[in-house]
Amino acid sequence: MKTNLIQSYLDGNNFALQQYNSDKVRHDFDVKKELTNHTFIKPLPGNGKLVKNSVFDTPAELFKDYKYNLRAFRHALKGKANDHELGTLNDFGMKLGGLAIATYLLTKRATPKTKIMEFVGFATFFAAMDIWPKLALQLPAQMLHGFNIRQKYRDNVGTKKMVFQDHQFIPWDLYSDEEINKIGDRMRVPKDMKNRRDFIQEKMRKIALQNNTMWMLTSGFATPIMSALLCNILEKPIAKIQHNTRNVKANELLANFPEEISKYNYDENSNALSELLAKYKDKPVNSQMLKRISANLSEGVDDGTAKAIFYDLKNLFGSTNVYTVDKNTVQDLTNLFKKNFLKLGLSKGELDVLVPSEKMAEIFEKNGLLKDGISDFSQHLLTIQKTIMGNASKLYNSNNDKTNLKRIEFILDNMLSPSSPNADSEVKKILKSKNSAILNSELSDKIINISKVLNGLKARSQVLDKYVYLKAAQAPETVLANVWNNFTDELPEIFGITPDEIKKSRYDRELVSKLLQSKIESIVSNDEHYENVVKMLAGKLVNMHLDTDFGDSEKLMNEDISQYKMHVVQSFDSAGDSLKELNMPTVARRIVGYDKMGDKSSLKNIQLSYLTDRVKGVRTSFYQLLNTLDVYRRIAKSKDANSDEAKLAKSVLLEGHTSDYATKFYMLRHPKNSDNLNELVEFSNDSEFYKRVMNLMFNDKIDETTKNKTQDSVVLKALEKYRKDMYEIFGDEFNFAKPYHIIRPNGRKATSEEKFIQKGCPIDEMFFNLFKSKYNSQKWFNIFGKMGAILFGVTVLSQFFMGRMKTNKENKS
Amino acid sequence: MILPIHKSNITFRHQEAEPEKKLPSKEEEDVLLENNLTNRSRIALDKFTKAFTVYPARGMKGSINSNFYEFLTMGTVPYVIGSATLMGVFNYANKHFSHEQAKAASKLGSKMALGVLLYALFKSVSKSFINYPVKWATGVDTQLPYRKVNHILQEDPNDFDLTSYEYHKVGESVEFTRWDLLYGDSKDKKTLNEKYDKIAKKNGLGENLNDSDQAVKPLYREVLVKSNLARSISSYLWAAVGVAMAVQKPWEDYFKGATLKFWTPDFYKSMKIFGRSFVKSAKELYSPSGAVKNIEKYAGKTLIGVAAASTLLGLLNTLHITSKPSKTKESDVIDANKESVVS
Repeated sequence: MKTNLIQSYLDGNNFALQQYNSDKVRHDFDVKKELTNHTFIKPLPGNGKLVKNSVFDTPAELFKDYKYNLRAFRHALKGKANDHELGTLNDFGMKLGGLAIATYLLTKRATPKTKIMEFVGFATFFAAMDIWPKLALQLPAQMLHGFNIRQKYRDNVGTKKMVFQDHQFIPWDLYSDEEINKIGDRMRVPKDMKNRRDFIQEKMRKIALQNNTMWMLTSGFATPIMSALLCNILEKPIAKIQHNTRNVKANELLANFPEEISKYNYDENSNALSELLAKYKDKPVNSQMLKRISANLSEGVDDGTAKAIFYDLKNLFGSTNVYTVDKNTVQDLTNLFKKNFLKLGLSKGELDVLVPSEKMAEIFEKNGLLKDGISDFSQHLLTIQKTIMGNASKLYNSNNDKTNLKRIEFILDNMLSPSSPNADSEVKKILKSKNSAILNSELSDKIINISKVLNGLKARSQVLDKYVYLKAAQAPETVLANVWNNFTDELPEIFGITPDEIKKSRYDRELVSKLLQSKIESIVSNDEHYENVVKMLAGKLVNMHLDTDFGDSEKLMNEDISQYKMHVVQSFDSAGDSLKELNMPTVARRIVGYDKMGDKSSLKNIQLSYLTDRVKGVRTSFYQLLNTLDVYRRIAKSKDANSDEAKLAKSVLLEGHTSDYATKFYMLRHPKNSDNLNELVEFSNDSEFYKRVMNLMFNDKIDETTKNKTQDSVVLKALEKYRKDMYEIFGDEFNFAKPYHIIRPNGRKATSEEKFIQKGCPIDEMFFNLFKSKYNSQKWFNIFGKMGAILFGVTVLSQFFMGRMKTNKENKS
Repeated sequence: MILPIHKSNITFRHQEAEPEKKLPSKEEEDVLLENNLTNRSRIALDKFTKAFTVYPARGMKGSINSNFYEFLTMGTVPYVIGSATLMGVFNYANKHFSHEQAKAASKLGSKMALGVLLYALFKSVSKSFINYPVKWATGVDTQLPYRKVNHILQEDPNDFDLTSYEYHKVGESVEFTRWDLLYGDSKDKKTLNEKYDKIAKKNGLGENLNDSDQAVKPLYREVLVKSNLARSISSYLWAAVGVAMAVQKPWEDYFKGATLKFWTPDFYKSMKIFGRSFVKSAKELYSPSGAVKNIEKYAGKTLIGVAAASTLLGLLNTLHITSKPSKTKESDVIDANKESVVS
């Protein structure tokens, strides 16, 4: 409740006076003198102050507001806040809630720009709430009526309020007569009016009330629309900032390569390996040990490399050539003998006597043959021979059975003798089935070194993968995706395609193709227009080259090595060499290939080619635009503009997929069609047709205008290379799917993947997708932009109908 | 001296009969209303209707009778229209898109629209998390409504209906709380302080107090301020939980068959799916499936935790009342009029 100063003074309550005697009070004002004047008690002079509206005052005002909010919170916490303070805390709560929403939604978004846009949405919403009344009401009202309808003032206790918030309680004393009269002059209130100030005040009250009501009626529409439009406008600059930030971030990864590698810590993995090695120290190698150590080394690598690690490790463990013979081995041996002796038609009883499993094990044990670390099996073989032959002699001691005895001896000899000098006999293979190598310190050290090499490579790969992801991953908002979007975004403008044409053709690729054909034909038919379009396109291509130089295949082919390639080569080659030295040849081959220069399936090559292929796909997609323009131009200027070759070239250049080069040419022009097929084909037996079309598209001389407008930059050279690659890759006999259409026999082999990358995105498909997204954003902008504009217009116009009051003639003096 | 008679001095007018002096009826007084569902609904409907009709008309005319209550009540207008526009911004243009893009856009748009609804729902419901516990613990009903009679000025000679009603809350202003409405019949001592007595008793201030109203008022005010703070912060955080709920994947099941045609059996089926999706979404928000990063795993839990904590802390602060009179016995207090020696 506001303090009654007079009553407080009479009651001797000094608190109220202290409150009044603040710094904000006029220094020459003596409250005691005023209040002791009992003969003429009048209202105290107003000591609130209008808040300054200058831009320069904004920081100070913001600081005061911040302080006020903090104080309000403190008061509310103690239960001592006033109504105004509680009102400001409600605003604070609303903003806090908005911030919580933006923060949560941020976690649901995958890309940096969409994450940023959540906060932009939050900020623009609250900004729109604030800006709308200022822009659509305050500013027009100020211009038309000469006063600020949203003027704020600060009262004696520091509370900031709007002067016209409640039109029934307006602190008019804050306005001097001079100010009011000035406003009145602006409102064209007659100067000779009686009680002029009252009239002006009433008019101001009315205008303020009407504006406040208008604010309530319009802000519901205006705030979301304005916020959405602001987001729409801000999206592009934010995308640009995000693009630059991403680029810099990616480049820094390579610039600070050693530091970046050190961020990837494999201590956990190394410690786990050390524990494993300690556990298995000096113990015979077994399959569980192999699996666990192999699993540790394979952590974070692909399946192929993991298999290679297992394979090499197995060989590494087995290379010591010491084995274990135990009861299971003896059992395996007896099973083998029984299986072979069964061929003699012996009964089960005979076999059990001949090869007694348990007794055989006892004999082995008795002779000390069941043990680890065996490298010489001569005693084992002798014992086996003696035992079996001894049993056989006992079993077949009569003359009649001598045949069986000899057969057994023969089979036994075969089993104990190797089939070739370097091979092991059947029996020896079983005896060698259990390697009993010991995990000694030498082997442990080797495994630790292997782990170090592999972990080093993993860390390097992580940094390189991160770089590749930021630059060119198949994901939104990568550097390459941004390059694509920026390039295609301006294509409708370059090709002179109107929003209406986009609207009409967006549902059908065929329509897009027809539209493009007519647009390009129109461009190439006019010299000046063609020059401009080629110039614009060349400019964009130059920028594209600059933005995608990280994946420059030219650099990779030449000695001018890119930083990325340098790190890939160094990382993979050094790991490969080290692993070879550590007896891990399969893993080394998996990493660098048989030959450091080639081997497409090696990890090193995949690391290199992914980046260059992605960039190449984008570049060829855009270079086909320039080539298509050039071909259309040459066709337009030639006499054979309506030839079959020209028609097909025009169509294939706009719509052709990789497969079209195989099917379209072949089906139309098969030279060996049967009589039945002849009916379906316009011109058969034309084996040169494909060659002519290919020459027209990619081999004939470039148009002079195209050449002139592109020769100053890298573009002409790149265009020529694009044409050469297309001609060789799609024209070679190895590559073309159908026979009889060879234009360059035995030239350059290309896989279907290479063809796909070389072809890039067909032009009509590129525009089709572009039209759909362009139309959507244009349509959205049209709907809500118009709504916003109409709302703004109506709100501004409404000012002209506000504050209308009849000037009473009697009021005039 | 007899003054000369001029035409201008003489006026003839019809003298109306003096109206009988009546005691003010219930219709002419401010009346405390019971805080029940019926009254709350009636008040909400009245305010909602007038916010869109009478009040804007008065405001746009610049009527002297338009007041601050009407301006504040009109705050509903941007809230409702803004919600609808926000839904429109995300959905209206979708029908112009190609089929697959419209489908993708609608998926997001429907979630955003649902977000607007759940924002309002959670914000409104979460206020009860403060209001009811405070009422049960302290006896102070911070939302107690009353009807205020407003006598307006005649602006038009044909306007004879010069009474308007406003719906306020007793504690809506902490500076101008309507203490008078909490008193009972001034002639009946039993009922005069009945409401204050109850609050005093509930808060351990004692029974049969001579001036329970004076003892209760500071406490009442403190509860009003603190509960207001708690509501202001927690309700918006719960509203954020509502939006977070709305963007969960399980809602997509509901959107596939959602209908507002309540006269068809499909509506009830869709309501069932709504309930199921609500539960699943709540679970998904708390413990997201397939979340990879920690920030995704814990974002929902944190948001719910912060909202719940704001309610809990707000409540604890509200219930920690510092304005209770001291319980020190009178005999223990040093009489300032008597001499005393400090050793």
